[in-house]
Formats: sequence, structure tokens, C-alpha cells
Amino acid sequence: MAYQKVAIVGAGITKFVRRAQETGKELAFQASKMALDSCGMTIDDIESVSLGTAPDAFDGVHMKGEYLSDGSGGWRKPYMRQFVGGGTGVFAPIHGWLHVASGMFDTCLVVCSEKMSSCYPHPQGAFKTIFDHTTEQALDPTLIWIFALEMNRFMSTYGITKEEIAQVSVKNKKNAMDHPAAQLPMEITVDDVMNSETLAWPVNRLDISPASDGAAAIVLASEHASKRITDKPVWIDGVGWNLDTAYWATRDLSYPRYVEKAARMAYDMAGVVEPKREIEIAEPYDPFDYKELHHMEGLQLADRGKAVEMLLDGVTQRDGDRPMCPSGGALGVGNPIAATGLMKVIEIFLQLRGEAGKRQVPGSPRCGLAQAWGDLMQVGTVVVLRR
Amino acid sequence: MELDKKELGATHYKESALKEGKLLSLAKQPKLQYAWDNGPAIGRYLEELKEGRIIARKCNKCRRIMIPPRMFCELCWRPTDEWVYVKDTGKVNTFSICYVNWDASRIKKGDKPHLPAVIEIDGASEGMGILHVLGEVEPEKIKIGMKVKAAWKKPEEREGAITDILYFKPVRG
Amino acid sequence: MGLTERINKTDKLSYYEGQIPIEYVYTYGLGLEKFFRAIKDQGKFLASTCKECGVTYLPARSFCERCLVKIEGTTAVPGTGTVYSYTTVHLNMDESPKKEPALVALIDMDGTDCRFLHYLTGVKADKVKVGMKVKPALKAKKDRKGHIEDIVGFQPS
Repeated sequence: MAYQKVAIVGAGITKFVRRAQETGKELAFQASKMALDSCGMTIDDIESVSLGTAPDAFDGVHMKGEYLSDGSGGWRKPYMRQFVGGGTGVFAPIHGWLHVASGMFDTCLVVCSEKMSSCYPHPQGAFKTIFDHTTEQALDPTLIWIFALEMNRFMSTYGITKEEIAQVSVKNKKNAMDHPAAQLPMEITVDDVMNSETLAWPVNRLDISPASDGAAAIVLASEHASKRITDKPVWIDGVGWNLDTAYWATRDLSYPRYVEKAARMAYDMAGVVEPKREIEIAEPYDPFDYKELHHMEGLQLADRGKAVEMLLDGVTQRDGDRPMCPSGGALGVGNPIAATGLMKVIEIFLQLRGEAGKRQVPGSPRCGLAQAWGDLMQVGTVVVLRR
Repeated sequence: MELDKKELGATHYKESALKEGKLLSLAKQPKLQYAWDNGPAIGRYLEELKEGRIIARKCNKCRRIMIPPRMFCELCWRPTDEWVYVKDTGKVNTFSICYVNWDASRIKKGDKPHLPAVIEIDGASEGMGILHVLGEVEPEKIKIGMKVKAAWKKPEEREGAITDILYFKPVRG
Repeated sequence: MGLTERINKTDKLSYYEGQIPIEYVYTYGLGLEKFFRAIKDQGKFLASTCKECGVTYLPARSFCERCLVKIEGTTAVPGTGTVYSYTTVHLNMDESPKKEPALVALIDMDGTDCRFLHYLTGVKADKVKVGMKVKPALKAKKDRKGHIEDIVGFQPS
């Protein structure tokens, strides 16, 4: 098919914090303005806007898309809100890509904003209603249940231990020490993770990313528009998304098939034949530490049950052969749901441009990937980026 | 461009700033209540639970026996065909030992942890699981693959809800 | 092709009841914090003007939605205005009848490019006219909390 090539030409982000004084729309504005400034553009240069934000129940603002539109530069523009739960942060740039690739627009501002701190007693409570109202909610489930159940199945299928998985948390929180937006940068040990409070075995406190407020934004441009904007475009060469059944309990919890399908869609489009060799750097979604490994396998960056070996061998460290979550990920930078996925896209954008500062991975990578995941553990969203 | 902390937005505040009035805030509780229609599949499922039975639904194309029952097969994308009773036994597909309540508050000291599990129900297709909780078992004795059986409420106390099964408990032997 | 089974007897219809038992605490944000502080402490209405397009927003905002640029300062406006449209409300949220009908109006605020949604007070419904000049009625300072209800309503001026 004939697509317009689409480049990322600018990026912006706020700090990720537990509680932000700013309203959601003010956070969206701060990130959007920074993204436009980063490439010398104004909102008048933007032809369309793609907004990503997760459940309305977090902010307690019904129809959050309409609410956030002014801070996202959506005033009197073709504006569209995207939402696939935690997968939203990569879904929004995919929609931005569709806007430009289709030839409808030459520029698109992609904004993701989340304000979880408004929700009391804890944003986790808002997740109760993602479970089936009749057959599951009556059991008083908490969000952590599904992660704990999936993590246990993942561990037992492949014989992986909690101590091994904890190294993801250690790595990502350490990587976050160099991320200026980070909420939870920490130098910790496997013992610290193991000794942190058990929330829902096998999940401990330090296995989980925090609740956060924050926003991120990128500017997309068609090939000919990008030439006027930057000499360092980063191309979105492949996009993929896929949803599995909402009957989550009936799925094979040890392997995210929907992530595989999303990744294969993106690889086919980008002409990636051997992901293990060609994807030099990646930001798999890591709201929980085991998810990084789980997703690496779905993304075909590791064989099933073998991602843990790459972790233990140091391959996924920032200075390793295949850095994973060099930003610090959701575990370290923080997890304002939709903004997290876009933060990951921004990290790959900066890494490929050689502008990641202290976080820069060696070897001048040319091809990377960002992925997010969400809904009722059923959606995978993937973008493949190249310079 | 490189990210510079000085240039990044978002102003962090401590929760106490609201109580002390350093920042203005507004508390609100939306009082929304719902009555979710059960529909034919879940309606029948709940009626059967009230009678102490578990019912599933079969698709004659892929031959899956599905639980919870549904009137359409999401794989074949066609209506399902038959009601099939399945057993009230099964095996543990995965489980957790949970010390957190739904709103992230912690369970009271000395209270037993929640024991959520995915139970693969005997008589349904391989891998067909439902979310439920385990009971009458020490948390450290739970194993993946363990055989379990439904512990039902007394017939007169059942109300046509998933909680008519109190929990699944280990089958001896 | 429809589904194979229908519920034909209405007594077979069943439902499951539930709710979403969460609550919210909203911060006002950078713009509204200034606006409501000024109402509470000084009884003043603060607006903010975008330097790029000249639009004046009320309540004060921290950015211009049209130009997507930051707005730094604020200016006080009188708080008076003109009724742009109004309605008489007879029902409460739960559809029960109100003891007294309430008058709700959109008010073009003097010195700004914005409208305010609020109650009209001290006037009977049959006396209200579109284009009527109004001024704000504030609660006594000791009762003001930095809340939209610090303004009791708008009354004919």
C-alpha cells in the first residue's frame, strides 16, 4: 500500500510525579508546548491532533477527551481521542501515524496526559470496574490479582524465580536515575525488592510501577513537511496493534499472543525479518517487572521463557547488546498510564537521534521499538522507529 | 534536543498541602449506580448457580465448551449452539496470595489473605478458566495444577450470583 | 442470523446491581488556583490575557488554548456582565421538584471574552431579560472557601 512516510520531529514531556498541582489539561499543555518548541513550530503549523488518555474514572472527568482538548492544542482542529487502557500511549501515536500516512494531514500533534492522583482512596480502585460486572466484580478483585495470576503462571511455566524477575526492577529503577522526568529513580538490590511488602504474592511493592501524574507529546510530520522542520527525523517505519479475547481467564497467561501479533504486523510493515538482530534497542511496557520479560518474548526479541537469560547475562542493561527500557521504564520513570507509552516512544526517538544524554546507549542504534499493553490484559501496541 | 529537568513541567505537591489549605481543592463523590442486564447467557449461568450447577455453552464449529457461557463464539464469530452442564470441580491454573483490598487498602492484621485463582473447570474445554477464590487451604499448600471443588452456599442462601460458590477447595486424595 | 436463544418471558429478565465506589479530590491547577484565591481573599475576579491573540479569559488560565502558549499574569475585572441566555430550572438532579425554581444564566463578563455559568439571584423569572446587566453577589468573606459557591449568584445592577 502507498503510505506517506511519517517522521517524529519533536517531543515534549513533563516530570512524572505522584501528585501534580496542574490540572490534566495544564499537564497536556506543558508537554505539547515543549514538543512544539523542540522543533520550532507553533500550534498553527499543526493540522491534526491525536490525544491518548486512559480511563475517565482516574480523573473523575467524564469524556476526558473533550476535557483535555484545549491543553492538547485541539481547539478548532480535527481532533481524536484514542483509548485502549494501558496500551493507549503507543496507540495514540499509531493513530497520529494514520492521520499523516493516509495523506490526510502533513502534521499531527500526538499528546498523552494522565492525572491519577484525583482518584481516592487510590487510583487502583478505579480498576475494579474493568472486571466483568456480574461474574468477576462480585469477588472483590483488585487490579493486582490479574498481574499476580499472570506472573505466577509465567514463573511456573518456565521455572523462573521471583529473585530473577526482581532484577528487571533493579535495572529499570537504576536507569531512571538518569531520566530528568523520573518519579522513582532508585539504586536498589534484589533483596530490597524481595523484602518489600508483599501485596499479592508473587507481587511485592517494588515489583510494581507507581501511580503518577504526567504528560508527554510528540510532533509527527510527512516526509516533505519534515524537511522544513528538522534534519534529524526519526521515521515510524512500522505500526501494529492487536486485541485478544476479553475472557482473560481462558487465555494462555504465560505468553502474550496479542503482543506477538501486534509486533509481527509492525515488523512486516517495517521490513524487519529478524527482530532479535534488527531491533537494537527497545522499550517494552513494564508496569510490573515480569512484564518486561513477558513482552520481550511476545515481541520476538527473546525465545519463550528465555528473556530472563538475557536479563541475567546483562544483555538488556543500558550498556548491553540489547538495551531494554534504557529510560527507566514505567518502574523507574513512573506510570501515568497513557503518558508512559508515549514516554517510551520519546526515549527511542532520543536514543536514535543520539540525544539521550546520560542515558545514551552505545553503538549509535538505527532501529528501535516501543510497546505498550493494556485493557483487560488483552491489547498490544507497537511502533518500530528508524533514523 | 536533550531533556533538562529545569525545563520540565508538573509541580509536585504533598497530600498534606490540601488539608492545610496551601492548595485549593475540591472533593466530590459521583453517586452512580448501575443495574447491568445479564442477558440470556449470564442470566442462565446465574440461575443454574442458584441450583448448585455450573452450565457452559458449546460452539459446534470449533467444538469449544465455553465458561462463562456466551451466546456467540468470539473465535468463530457465530452464535453458539448448545447448553452443556459442566462439573463443579477443576484444577488451579494460577493463583495469588493477596494482602491488598480492591481500593489498595491493606487487609487487617491477622486476617486471612485473599486467595484469587483461575480455575479450569472440568468438562469445559482445555484451558477454559474462570476467576474465583480458594478456601479451606493453607496459602503455602496451594499448587498450580491442584484439583479443587466448589464449596457452595446453602441452597436457601443462594441468590443467583457467582458468589453462590463461596470458594473452591482442594479435593482430598 | 440472530442469536439462537431469546428471553421471551419478562420475568426471566435479570440484572446485577453495582456501583463504582470511588471519590475524587481535584486540585484547581495553576490558573484556577489564582482565580479562586482572589475570590476568597479579596473578592476580586481575576482574568488573564494572551499576549499573542489578545483574548482575555475568565476565570484566569495558565495557557491560551488558541495559540497554545503560556499566559503569565492576571488582571482584575469588575465581575459585572450581561445576561447572554438563561433558563428556569424546576427539577433537582434526581428529577424531584425544586421548592423554588432556580434561574441559571450564561453571563458575558465585562472586560473579557468569556462567559460565566451561574445562578441569578434577587430577581423573578418574569423580570429576567437577555441583555440585562448583572453584578456578582459574594458570600461574606469569613464564609468563602475558594469555591464556585463563594459567588451566591448574579443580581440585576
